[in-house]
Amino acid sequence: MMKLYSEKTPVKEQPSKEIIQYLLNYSKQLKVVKTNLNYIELHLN
Amino acid sequence: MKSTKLPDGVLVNNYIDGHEKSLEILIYRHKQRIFSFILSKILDKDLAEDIFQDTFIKVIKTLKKGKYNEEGKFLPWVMRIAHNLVIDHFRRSKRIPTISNSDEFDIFSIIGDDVLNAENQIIKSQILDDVKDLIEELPEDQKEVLIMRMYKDMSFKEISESTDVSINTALGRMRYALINLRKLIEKHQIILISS
Repeated sequence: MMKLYSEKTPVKEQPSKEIIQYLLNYSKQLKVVKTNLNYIELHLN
Repeated sequence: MKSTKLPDGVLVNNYIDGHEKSLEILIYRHKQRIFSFILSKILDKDLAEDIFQDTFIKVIKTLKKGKYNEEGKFLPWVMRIAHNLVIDHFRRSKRIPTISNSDEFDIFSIIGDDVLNAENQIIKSQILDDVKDLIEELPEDQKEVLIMRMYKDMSFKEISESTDVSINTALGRMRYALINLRKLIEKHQIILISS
């Protein structure tokens, strides 16, 4: 039978731990306030 | 707490409610799949990390703004964001010509490439538009599987879970989608060729 598709070779690469940690810190520091017109993003240190 | 057992949808809701740990679980659960997808397109680890980071910044902002409305389909949604950012990257990089520091610099290599790239880009975009129109003519169940597989880069296991059918059914729908696409190409006498 004709092969209609082929499975892609999986790439076992991962993002660095620093990137993950940055994202987790970014999330903790980000506060979003909704106003009548739009959203205000506050980055709290 | 058996946090790894929680479905994505529950973790997303918990995160929206302020449970920061849920984001960590989601990132660790899907990081390899999302990063591998980006890296497979970009082929540069540093750039792939930038796009991975931008993807999750968009995810975080959207969730915190309460704009997420995918109802349990977290991974396909994140993959779509990553896919769009990859496209943005290629669009940006084509607009900025790069000149290598070489004594044998040839201005025509850049001018010639730009002209060809522009032409190729138009042809490719016309082909993609034609294919999109053809996909629209497919039956809904076949269209859904084909879009998930080809545009969202989902595995058949994920497609079967997402559409609530067996893997064999998903495979069958993909097969019929491709057969029907070929029939539609013949019917409309469309030529899909890119140099």
